[in-house]
Amino acid sequence: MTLRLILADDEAPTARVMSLALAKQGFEVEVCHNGEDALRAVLANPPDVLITDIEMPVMTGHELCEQLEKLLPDRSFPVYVITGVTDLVHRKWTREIRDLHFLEKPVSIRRLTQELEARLSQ
Amino acid sequence: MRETGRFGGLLQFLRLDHSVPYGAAVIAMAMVSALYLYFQQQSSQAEMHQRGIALAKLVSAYEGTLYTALDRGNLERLFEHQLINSAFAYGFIENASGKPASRIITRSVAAPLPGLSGQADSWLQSREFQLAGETVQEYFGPIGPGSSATHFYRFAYFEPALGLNTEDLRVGATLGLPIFLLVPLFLFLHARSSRPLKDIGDKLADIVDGKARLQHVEISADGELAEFITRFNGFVDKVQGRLSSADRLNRKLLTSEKFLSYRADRFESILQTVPDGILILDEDQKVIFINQHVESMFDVQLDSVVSTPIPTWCRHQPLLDFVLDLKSSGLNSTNRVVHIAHPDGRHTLGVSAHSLYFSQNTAHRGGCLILLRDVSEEIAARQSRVEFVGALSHEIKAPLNTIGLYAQMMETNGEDAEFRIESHNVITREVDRLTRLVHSLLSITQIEMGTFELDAQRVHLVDVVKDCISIMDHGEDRARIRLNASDKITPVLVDKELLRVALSNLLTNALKYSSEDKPVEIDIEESDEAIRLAVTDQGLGISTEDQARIFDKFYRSANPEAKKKAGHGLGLSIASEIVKLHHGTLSVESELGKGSTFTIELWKRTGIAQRTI
Repeated sequence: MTLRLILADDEAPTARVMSLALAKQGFEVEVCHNGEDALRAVLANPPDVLITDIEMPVMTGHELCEQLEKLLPDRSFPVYVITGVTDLVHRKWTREIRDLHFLEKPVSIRRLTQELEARLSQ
Repeated sequence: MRETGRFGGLLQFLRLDHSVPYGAAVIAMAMVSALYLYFQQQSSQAEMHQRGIALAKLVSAYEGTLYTALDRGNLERLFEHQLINSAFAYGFIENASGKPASRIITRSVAAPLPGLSGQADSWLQSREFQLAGETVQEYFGPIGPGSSATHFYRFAYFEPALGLNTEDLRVGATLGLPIFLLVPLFLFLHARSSRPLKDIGDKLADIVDGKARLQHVEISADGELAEFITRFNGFVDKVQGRLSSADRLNRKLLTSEKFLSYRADRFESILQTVPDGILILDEDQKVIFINQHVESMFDVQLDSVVSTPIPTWCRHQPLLDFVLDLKSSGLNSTNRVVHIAHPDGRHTLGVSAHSLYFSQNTAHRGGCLILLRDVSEEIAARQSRVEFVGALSHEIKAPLNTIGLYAQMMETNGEDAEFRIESHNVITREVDRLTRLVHSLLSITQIEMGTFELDAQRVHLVDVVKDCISIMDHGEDRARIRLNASDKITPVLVDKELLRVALSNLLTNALKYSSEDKPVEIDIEESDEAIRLAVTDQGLGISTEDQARIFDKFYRSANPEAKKKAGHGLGLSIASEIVKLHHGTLSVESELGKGSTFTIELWKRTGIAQRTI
């Protein structure tokens, strides 16, 4: 069974190369370029995994997660947040969000794939 | 009343009114005249009496003979002879029965005379009585032996009256003139003898009036006055001694007072000048001092709060808690800065307490000094730095991430020629992006440190703008920009690259904060002195509150719409710094919901010169 993934990133090259790499690993990837689009996609068809950047126009990754927490209180899929910021101050808000994980930039596709496979096989 | 009042009597005496001696002379003359008249009367009376006795002796010489006609005639002549004396009143012979036995010899007396009534038994008797309003002295006695006398003589004189006659006047004048002449002499002598006194009086008056300073009186005199002057000069010496020692003491006091007040003023002005709030408490936590910052913070005056405990005038709970905590925990936690809310509700205060030792003995703690510092900006700056580092970290890691991902994909997908080309393009672009970011960061640092050197060239602003538009990433952005400018705008001396950064920041903001269907206008106008370049958008607009801070580094509007847009709050700050480097100004006009206009005003050469002057 193919695992479905929603990827939200406003950086077009990043979104493209990541979706390419993940597709190569056998995931079905839907790409969105801002938080709002991603939220719409998630609500329309909840994925197996949501991967999102934080700094995005229209709706940031932070706001997207808060909306999800509000709109899908019993969500079953994990959320991966891609962040370039390591400062804990900027991660404070993530404590309020269930099943949230960090992906530090630069992202390693191999490590991400391993992590996703391990988690989803549980 | 002036001081001279006390000496007025003395001075008055010394000057002596001339009417006094003249009055005294007149009185003396009057008294002398009165005495003269009195003695004159007395001597007239004595003379009259002697004359009376002599006449009586003559008349009574007829003793032993009978009164005859011849005798009568002789006696009558005798009396008549007396008439040469004006004082003679009358004279005649009377018989035993009281009838005149001779003619009554008189000049004026016609009135009936009182009778003798048998009293004339001694050869000479006298009596006084009033006759026609005048007092007369009558002498009478028997003619012949007393017991057998048949006839009696009677004659009288008018009592000499008090009164002046020409003779008296002459005498009076002879007496009065020397007395009167004595007055000027007396005055002259008095003036001469009292001159030293008067001089002393004048000098005293000058000293008292402050016209002369206290000094010896140098006046030649002798006798008691000389002694007085010597003693007075001794008194002056003593007073001068006292005065000069008092003066020395006074100067000493003045000097130390000046010194103390100078020190106090200096310390207070230091405490007032310190930019932080200073609150000094004694060991009982009563106020010793507050400076102007604390006064304005809590809207109180030092005078009204000094020596009072803080809770009597301060209603700001966070400070009260801090002071209470200080009391309970002692000052062990000195230098620890506690953040409390500012009474104005907008700022944050960093409060710290420090022990004060008022003597050399450090065990003697004299209270504490509480520092209240507005740390809002520090906090904001720290926050901004955190945000800036976050934003910067994002800006650096985003291209790195892309590059990294492509590199990873090359490992597995490298055979695909199309992907290789794509990878090459993306990696090149991301490297460029990183390079630009690094350049930008270096520029900011250089501008901030003042080490940036302008590479000034004379360029057409229109060209810079066009250049700026052409290197924009997105075609749709370029399409929204409208440039309204004449090609004849005078070239200006600017650093082209820097100005492009500033302009690019303004354009990016204008595009970012307005909707994609709204144009962004660039207007370039020229006046005699300056060239104005305005970037106008029809976007979100900026609140008045934000307008005051948008040029601050790291500042980002709290407007939720604006927050949705990516940015690290440096663009306008950089633009503003760059314009300042060109001696120009960057200003903003904006209305929420309608849009904003950012105007760069660059002075032409003359403009710069004029402004520099």
